[in-house]
Amino acid sequence: MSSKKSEIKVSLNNLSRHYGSVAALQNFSLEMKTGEMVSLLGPSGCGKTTVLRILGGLDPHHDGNILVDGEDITGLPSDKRNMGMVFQAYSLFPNMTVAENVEYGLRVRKVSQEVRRKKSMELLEMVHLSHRGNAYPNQLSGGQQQRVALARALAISPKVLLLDEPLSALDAQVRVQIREEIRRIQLETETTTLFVTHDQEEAMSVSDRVGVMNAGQLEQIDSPTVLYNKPKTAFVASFVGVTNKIPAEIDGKGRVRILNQKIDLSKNSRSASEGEKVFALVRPENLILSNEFDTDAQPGLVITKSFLGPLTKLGVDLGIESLVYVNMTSQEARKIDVGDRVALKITSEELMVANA
Amino acid sequence: MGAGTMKSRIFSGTRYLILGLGLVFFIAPVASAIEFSLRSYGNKGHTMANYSWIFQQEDFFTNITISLKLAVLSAVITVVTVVPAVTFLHLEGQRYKRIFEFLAILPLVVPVVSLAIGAQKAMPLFIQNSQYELAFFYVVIAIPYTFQSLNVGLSSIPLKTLVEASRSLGASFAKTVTSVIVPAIRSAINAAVFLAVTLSFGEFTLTSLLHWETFPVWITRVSQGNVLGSIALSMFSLIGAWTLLILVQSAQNVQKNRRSKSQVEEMEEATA
Repeated sequence: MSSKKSEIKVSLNNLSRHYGSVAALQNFSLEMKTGEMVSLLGPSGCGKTTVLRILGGLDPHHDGNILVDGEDITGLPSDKRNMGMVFQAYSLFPNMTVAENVEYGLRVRKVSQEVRRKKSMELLEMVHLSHRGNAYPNQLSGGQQQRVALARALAISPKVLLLDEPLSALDAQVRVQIREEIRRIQLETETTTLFVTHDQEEAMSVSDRVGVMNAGQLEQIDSPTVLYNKPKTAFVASFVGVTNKIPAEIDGKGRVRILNQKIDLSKNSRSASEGEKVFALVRPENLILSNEFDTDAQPGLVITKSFLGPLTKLGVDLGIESLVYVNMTSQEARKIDVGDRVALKITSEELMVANA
Repeated sequence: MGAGTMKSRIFSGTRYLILGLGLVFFIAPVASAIEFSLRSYGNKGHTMANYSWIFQQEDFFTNITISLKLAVLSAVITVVTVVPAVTFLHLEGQRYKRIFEFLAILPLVVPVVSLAIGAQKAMPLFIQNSQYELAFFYVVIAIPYTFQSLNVGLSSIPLKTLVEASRSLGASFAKTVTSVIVPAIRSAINAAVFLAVTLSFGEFTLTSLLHWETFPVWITRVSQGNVLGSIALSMFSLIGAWTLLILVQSAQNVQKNRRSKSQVEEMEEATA
């Protein structure tokens, strides 16, 4: 199993796509291992859906090639690629029952009715909808429709499962429930999956690796933990998770002079010259608040306090352009109230910087 | 009696009055025409003679048959050409949609004489010599209505997503059209077919200009010497068209009821 998992299932090599003079995708390359779930994350218009649609054969591309199981499928139309897809919009065929929808791909492949029925029942059981086989799509909730769409996509035993923001039309509670279901089923079926989303929590919680895209290019692809803790670019650092942008300056030893502290510049950060004004990127959990006003600490005033369950988020005015946000355990935060004067310190050992 | 109840009674009364006036406006001319068609020359009371006169006319069955054949052929051409064309327009030609919407209403404004001469010249010779060429012209005349009906039907479904879902599951475009799109817009197609059938069945001007004889042209010719007979013929055509309409509607209702029944059964099963 482990050797199978290390095999390269999908290779996207130097894909480019242009809309007139606008480049939607530039030299995009990605490799996915067998059974791996990779998410593409990025702001609107970054090209993540374009990648998925090119892989699925739904959109053309101008340069590059696509290999699946070592076979070049670049010129194949979508109906010859054997890739299951779940769309953002509800896509169940309205004239067919749930069971007929699930069986559709098998019927196209001329699989016998007996085998089709068996397979659709198995898949409907997997998505906990075996009792709704005779229902029509208009009798199902949004979450149920997407679960049926997932079963339908899996029925053809796809080489790759493509998920194009399948949860974005659902309400918050159902989203969490279905994304966990997707991950469970993906692990159970060991289907290589490409998941496109703009919701970082969604991407980070279910994926083996997450790729962050910006302006048609892949900025970084890593496991969620590495992506969050060791971002390779300022864009990734500011896009993934919450990041404070605090004005800083580079000193003579290549360190970052920020508030009343001096901290090493991250090796992954862009180079900066002495005296250059920059923004340091600091995560809320890398800041601490206390009432000990020593020389390193920066005094500030608590302006906002938001209870988030186990954590509390505090907004502190340091006299810079925007509030600096600090995450504390809710127990510790009980000692601090809005209007309190506090001392703020950065606990990071190194910092990324962005242009000021 | 409360003010609310009073208001609701007045509203209800007005509603029935409007409905009654509408019915009188619709029924009175038809009833008068039926009564007139049953009269006899020389005021000898009411009789079915004018209706039996229809069936005694030479070429009655020939002409009604050719009109029915042309109507069916027009419907088939509409389904085979207009449905895929409008579907393709929705999928690939969104940027040209306005142009096509404009082109689709042209048959309404182009004089029939221009259409007759121009369109006939464009036809291959072997079709020009056949009366079945009329079916192609009827399809063109019906386009302003059939296009709109299909346009609305296709706009009401997530067409692009359905096509992409079907294609990604391995279906060819033809299979997608027959298994997914056509069933999803069945009522729009039924409406387009019905419009094509009724327009073809009743078309007179273009057919007459091209010197072909169909049922409406035949009615005009034979009724010139018999006023009461011509009214009987008009009533016969009207009742024929209504029967056709009722048959199409009943077929749709049977289908709808069957589906609703299975949905209700499913709901009962799900809630049990």
